[in-house]
Amino acid sequence: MLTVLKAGAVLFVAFLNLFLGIAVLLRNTKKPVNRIFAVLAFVFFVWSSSLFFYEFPLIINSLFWIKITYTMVASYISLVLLFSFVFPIFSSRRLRLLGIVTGVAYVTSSIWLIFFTKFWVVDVVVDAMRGKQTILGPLYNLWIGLAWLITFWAVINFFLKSRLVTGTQRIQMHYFWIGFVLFGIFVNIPDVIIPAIWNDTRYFFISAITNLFFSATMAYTILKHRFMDVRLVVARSIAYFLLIITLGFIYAAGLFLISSLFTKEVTTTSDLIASTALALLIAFTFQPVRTFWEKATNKIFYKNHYDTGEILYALTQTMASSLELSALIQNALAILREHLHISQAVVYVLDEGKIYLRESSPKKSSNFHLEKQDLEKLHKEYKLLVFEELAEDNIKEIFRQHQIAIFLPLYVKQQTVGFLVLGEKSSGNIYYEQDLMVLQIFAPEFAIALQNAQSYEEIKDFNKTLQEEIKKATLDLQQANTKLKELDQLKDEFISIASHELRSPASVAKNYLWMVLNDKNKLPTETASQLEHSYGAVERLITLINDMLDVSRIETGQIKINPTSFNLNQLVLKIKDEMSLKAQTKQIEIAVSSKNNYTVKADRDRVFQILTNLVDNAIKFTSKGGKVNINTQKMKEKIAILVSDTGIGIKDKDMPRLFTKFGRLNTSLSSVPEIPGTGLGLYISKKLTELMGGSLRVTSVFGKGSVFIVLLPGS
Amino acid sequence: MDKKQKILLIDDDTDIQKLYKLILTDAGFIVDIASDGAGGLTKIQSGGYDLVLLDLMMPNVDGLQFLNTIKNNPPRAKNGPIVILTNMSLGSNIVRQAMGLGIESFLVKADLSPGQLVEKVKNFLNPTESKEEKTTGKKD
Repeated sequence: MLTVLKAGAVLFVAFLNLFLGIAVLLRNTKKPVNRIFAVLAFVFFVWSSSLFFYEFPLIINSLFWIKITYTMVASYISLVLLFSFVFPIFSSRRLRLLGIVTGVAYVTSSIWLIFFTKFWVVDVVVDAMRGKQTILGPLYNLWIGLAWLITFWAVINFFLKSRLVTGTQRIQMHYFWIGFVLFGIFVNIPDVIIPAIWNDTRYFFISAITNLFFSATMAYTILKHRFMDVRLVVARSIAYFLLIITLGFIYAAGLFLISSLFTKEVTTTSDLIASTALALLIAFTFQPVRTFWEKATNKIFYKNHYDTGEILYALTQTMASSLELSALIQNALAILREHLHISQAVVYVLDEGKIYLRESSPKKSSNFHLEKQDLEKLHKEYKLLVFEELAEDNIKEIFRQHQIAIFLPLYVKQQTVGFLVLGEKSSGNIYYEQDLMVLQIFAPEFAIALQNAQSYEEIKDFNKTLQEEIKKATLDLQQANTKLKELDQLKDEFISIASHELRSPASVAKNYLWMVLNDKNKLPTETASQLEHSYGAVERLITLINDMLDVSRIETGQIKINPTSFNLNQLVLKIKDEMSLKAQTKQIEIAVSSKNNYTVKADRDRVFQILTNLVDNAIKFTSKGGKVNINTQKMKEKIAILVSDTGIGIKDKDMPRLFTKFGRLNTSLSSVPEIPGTGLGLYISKKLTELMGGSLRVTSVFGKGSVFIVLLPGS
Repeated sequence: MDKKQKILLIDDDTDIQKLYKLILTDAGFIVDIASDGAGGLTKIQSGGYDLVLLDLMMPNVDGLQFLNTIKNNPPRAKNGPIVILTNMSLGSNIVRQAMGLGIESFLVKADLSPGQLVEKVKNFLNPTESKEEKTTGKKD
């Protein structure tokens, strides 16, 4: 009996090892960890199988099988060494190489020693007292010593790595240590210590079973990605183990006592062990078998049985996932009907004092619906009403009339949200305690869910209204904008036409005056002077019309700038030409430096206009014999045109008004005649420069002169 | 100059007509007048004008319509360049449209003194000097 058990266990473990090896290898065929473990598990498989054949030499003989077994042991030691170089992280290449070399050397020498000499294993004999015994050779202990050295090296590797790793890998190491230590103990005791001290080799088979400790824990750490707490695993394992021992001991002791006291029969050790094993089997299968039979009988006796937990879970899920009122009620009612087998169900929802029928299940009979007064009557008590429990009064009558079985008010805090009204069960049964409990747990949650759904609807409605208001407002805005644009357009057309109308008579007057003034017949001085003033006035009028047109266009953004790249020197020379007449009249010299020739990117006509304005001003505000200079310079990435004069300059307090509309200088110097001008020139010049991406600045010393600087983008 | 050069002036303003006819005849040109685009079209068919001075704002057929008609049906007789002579501003729509219809240049009446007008006309008729950058008249 015992031997059968022994054999069974060993074989079982063998195949378990094989299975683990395959499982780990299948998970990932590429990783070295998986591969080495697979080989290790295979080695364990062969180890356990060969020990089985050692005990039951069905083919060949025990000596052969024990030699195989030892070969496997040597192999696994090398493999563990190799393993220590790749788990949980790789060691350096050199070390790995060293490990491989050592391992291979050890295995090869072991095989030679085992199979081709008698230094290791001598023979297998059967001892009458102690069963099968292996006679070990003289070098056996030396080999064991080497094995321990190698294992020690592996342990050092593992230990060093334990200290390096963190996180998941650290937990992997914990599991590894447990498996390894257990394995170490349960291998060395029967295979090394007992043979060495008591010269007894009959417990070899234990190590064939306990190698599972190591392979199982290693498989677990390699395969799983999330680990249970090691302490938990260890605690539970120990508890389980103790449970087995306790139960086994109680049973075995009990059996022994009973048999020796009552039956006077000698129970053999093998019988004792067998029956103890059976008792343990019963103990551990009790719970699962019981559950199975309970479920089976439930199916027969409790056809309509449902799990309270299940229905509440389903209801909670629905309430959490439905935000829309109709869907919420429909789904909840569907679940109730399905589990409780109710014929009809209705939910009434309160909305600002009014009661609305919201969603009922199909198959409603016409008189199932309640009127508002009825609902209020039922509602007075604020609690769950069950038909069977009602006293005979008008409330019960209402129930009977409308075939109602349950009335359930739904409220949050003190506020009523609605009512749940259930009809009879389709089976005709009453509502059981379990059903009522479910309903009472469900009611408050449902009330809250309904309230939320109502709020959600309100928000949706509000949102819609908001959207429409926004759309309307945007439309209004767009219309206003279009109107404004039209107005701007009209304004501009008006200005264009007005300026055109004003210019026509002005040009006629100007021309005739000119012709008179240039007539070959000389005019009397007095007449000539008067006519000259008239001519000047008409010219100023025309300039003013032009300026006002410019200002209007600037302010409505109608100015179009056509930037081109052109040379400044040419333009400056042209200006000098155009202004030379005016300058000569006041004996002012215009000096132009053509040292540099810069190219700018701007609107040529506008630059001409601006420079004309500045030079004109320079001449106007400089007294007889003065000087006007036009220079060009490079300032960072921009080109500067400097118009400087030796005129009267600008006072600091007048600076702010300089570039504003009609911001003219008030010269208090009575000696200077009133200087004509529209007061718009500088404003226009500044705006135009800015439109071209430049700027207009001035520095001045009162009484000495001014410098106007135009900055324009270079090309 | 062997014979006198002929200029066609198309403008509805009678003051302008009288004024410019006076100025240009004094300067030695022959001046023909048309009061609107229609009259101008008729006159231009006979051809032989060395320069056409065209106003834009006119009743009946205005300057733009005149230019469009010329563009689509060029007169068989040969004529000189067309120059816009107006008091509209450069930035206005009408002027911009005219610019794209094959005119030679653009003058603003109010900005010209008689002397300047004559000088510009001479330039259009006899571009002897090396072409200066075509300024399209002063300001707008």
